[in-house]
Amino acid sequence: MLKYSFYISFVICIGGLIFRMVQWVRFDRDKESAEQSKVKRVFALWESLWNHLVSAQILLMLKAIFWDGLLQVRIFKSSPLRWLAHMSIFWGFILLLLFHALDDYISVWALPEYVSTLNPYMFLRNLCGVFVLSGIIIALYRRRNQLIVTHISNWMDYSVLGLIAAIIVSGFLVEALQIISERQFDNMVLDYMITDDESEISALRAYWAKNYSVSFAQPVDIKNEILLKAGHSVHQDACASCHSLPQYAFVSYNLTQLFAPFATVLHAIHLDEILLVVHYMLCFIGLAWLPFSKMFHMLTTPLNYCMTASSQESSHSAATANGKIVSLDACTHCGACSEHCSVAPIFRVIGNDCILPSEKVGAVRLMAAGRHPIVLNNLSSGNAICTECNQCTLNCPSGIPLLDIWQHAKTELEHKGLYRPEDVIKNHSAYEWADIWKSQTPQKQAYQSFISDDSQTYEACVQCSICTQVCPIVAAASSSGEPIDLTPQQVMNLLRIGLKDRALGTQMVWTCATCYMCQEHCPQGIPVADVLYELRNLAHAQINFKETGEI
Amino acid sequence: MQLKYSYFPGCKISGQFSDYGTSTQTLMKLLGIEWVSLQFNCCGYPIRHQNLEASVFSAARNIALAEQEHLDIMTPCKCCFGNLKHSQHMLKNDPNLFKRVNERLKEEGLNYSGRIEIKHLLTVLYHDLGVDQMKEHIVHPYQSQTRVAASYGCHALRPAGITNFDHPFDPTIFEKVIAVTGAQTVFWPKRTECCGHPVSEKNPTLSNALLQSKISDAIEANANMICTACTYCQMQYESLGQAQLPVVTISQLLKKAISGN
Repeated sequence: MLKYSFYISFVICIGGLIFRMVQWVRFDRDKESAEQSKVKRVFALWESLWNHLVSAQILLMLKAIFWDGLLQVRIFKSSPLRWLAHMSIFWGFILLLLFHALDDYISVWALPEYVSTLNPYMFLRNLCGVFVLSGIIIALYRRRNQLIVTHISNWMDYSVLGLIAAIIVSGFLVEALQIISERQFDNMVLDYMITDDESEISALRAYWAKNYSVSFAQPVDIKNEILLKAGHSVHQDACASCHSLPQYAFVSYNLTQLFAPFATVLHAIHLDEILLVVHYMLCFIGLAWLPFSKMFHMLTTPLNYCMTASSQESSHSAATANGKIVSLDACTHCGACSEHCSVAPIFRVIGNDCILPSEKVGAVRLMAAGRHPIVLNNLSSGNAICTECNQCTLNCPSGIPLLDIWQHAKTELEHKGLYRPEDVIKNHSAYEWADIWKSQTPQKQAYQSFISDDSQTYEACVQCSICTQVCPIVAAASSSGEPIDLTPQQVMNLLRIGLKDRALGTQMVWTCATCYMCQEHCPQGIPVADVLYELRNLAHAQINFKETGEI
Repeated sequence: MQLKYSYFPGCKISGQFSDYGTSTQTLMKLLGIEWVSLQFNCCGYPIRHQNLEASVFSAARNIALAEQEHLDIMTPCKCCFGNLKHSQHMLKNDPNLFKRVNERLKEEGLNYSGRIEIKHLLTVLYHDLGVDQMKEHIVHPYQSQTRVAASYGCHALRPAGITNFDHPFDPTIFEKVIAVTGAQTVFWPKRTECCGHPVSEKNPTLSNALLQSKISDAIEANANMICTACTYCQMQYESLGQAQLPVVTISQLLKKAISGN
């Protein structure tokens, strides 16, 4: 059954890898990508994989693999704590995979006198397990303790950590149960003892009960020195060459203390064998899930390092189109970008996930997949808030050119009919907007103390038009031959007579340069510029982006 | 007394417009001004159009970070300066907002009290360091035929009651700092007007018209160089290239007068 489970998960894994690679060719992140023929892109992908994973560019590859793959310098630069977590998990797991899971193929010929139950291998296996588990604990701590990272962490992040933890914990449990297992002892005696002399075996039982923590159902006299001495000499002849003391498996050995009192029951229900199957199955689940989960980054992140470092992808447009999708797949959802994002505090007030770079990556991927869900609206309004400070790119341990993605996404979103509010507002006159908004249920505003609703704000206005005369926008618009629709003074007048709806969509409100000339010059102290700011706040909350989109 | 600030470069400097930041840091080193770099976020200026509370919270978080270090904030950007000042004003006058902002800050162990000051590079140079101090460093003064038009940047000037930068229509601080370098300054009517950057994305034509009218005004006043002290102003001038008039930042101008390059 284990064999077939392995084959099934292996086939799923290979199928999944192919599925994901097909997406690299199938998805288009922007218009230029979509213009490339798919046949060309298949060849380009083949070429990229060959260049980066198989042949040529050896120096580049080795450098990338050594610094970014083995030492993970980029993660260290981004956050030493996360580096510690990732290094522990990565190295602990890789070493276990190579020298424990694949010991029949690797350890046996690579390591001197390798036997899984001998030291230092027993000790090292436990040590690796401890590394992985402590890495997971650090990772969880980080995910629970950094405000923004806690918010973005999803079921995928936790379940991958959970799966790895479960593999390691089940491994420890299996080892612990095997240490105390009488059945294991009996089987070993059957397989390796030449004699079937009962007295020798009972001596050995005593010796193993005392020194190797085996729990026997029948009481064994472990205080009988003569018996133990006899057991010792049998042990030396038959067992010692393959068995170090169980204490060296320091985690599993300590777990045996926990199980020893219930050894008979555990023995009866074959728990060690059940857990061994569980341990295997968890590994197979991991293998099958790899291409579909964030663990896929094991392949995509190094590939992305190479692709961004290489010249081929930037000169060859079909390869660029593929590389743009690979770079999205290289995201490990670690959240470093969002942690350093300049506009993350804005997200905390407005609450659109697509303000945060780590979440925008997923949304851009959906866009590239050609799906047009609501997420694109969120992406459009969230991406518009980006101030292009580039902190996301600088802090990305996977080396994804994030800022470049956001800039291209802006164009691509417009191409798909999702415009920025500044452009949407131009599609209708202020009066038309007033009618559109009247038919909608107004959205809740976070900020409530409005000056524009307070009649006292304009009480002193004498419509002297000084605000209009000093406004540089009014002047520039007039001299360019396209006068502004309403002047600041007229906007104030609309508000004064309670026609706020009519004011919200005016060009004056939307093209205000916020230079505060009007407000500073007003002889009556009307906060003209502050009111215009507030009207934009209100209009932003009211604009329904779907109104003009084709989505 | 040793001058020390938390240096707030602003998103554009840490992103794609690093020149102004680099020259500002060099200038501070030359003048012996110390600074620390904190994990600042956006000043809140760009989002103020869309959501005032988000803007104030953004600003407050930065100020709270600087408060932790007991350092005043110094920024070379007038839009950052203006918005940080504006947010301080809002928080001082709106107890509700103050409470909500602090509740959010508390989630990450921060607190805004409003006890530090927000300063612009120019106010640091003029008020904190002083003209005489600066003069001592000038070893490569400009020739008097260098006539500089100081482009003020509106977000620091107005509303003057909040920014407390200088007179809103008839400021002098920028010219006084430039004069230290030996260069002449010119008077040009549009020096306190908008450069056009705030509308550059919404209405590029209008934005260009505003910019062009400023440049023409400076040329008419017989200037042979424009000097800015704001990231956005400098970006806006550079968008037209330097063909009509060379445009430099105050950091570059002073740096050259001090170090010769």
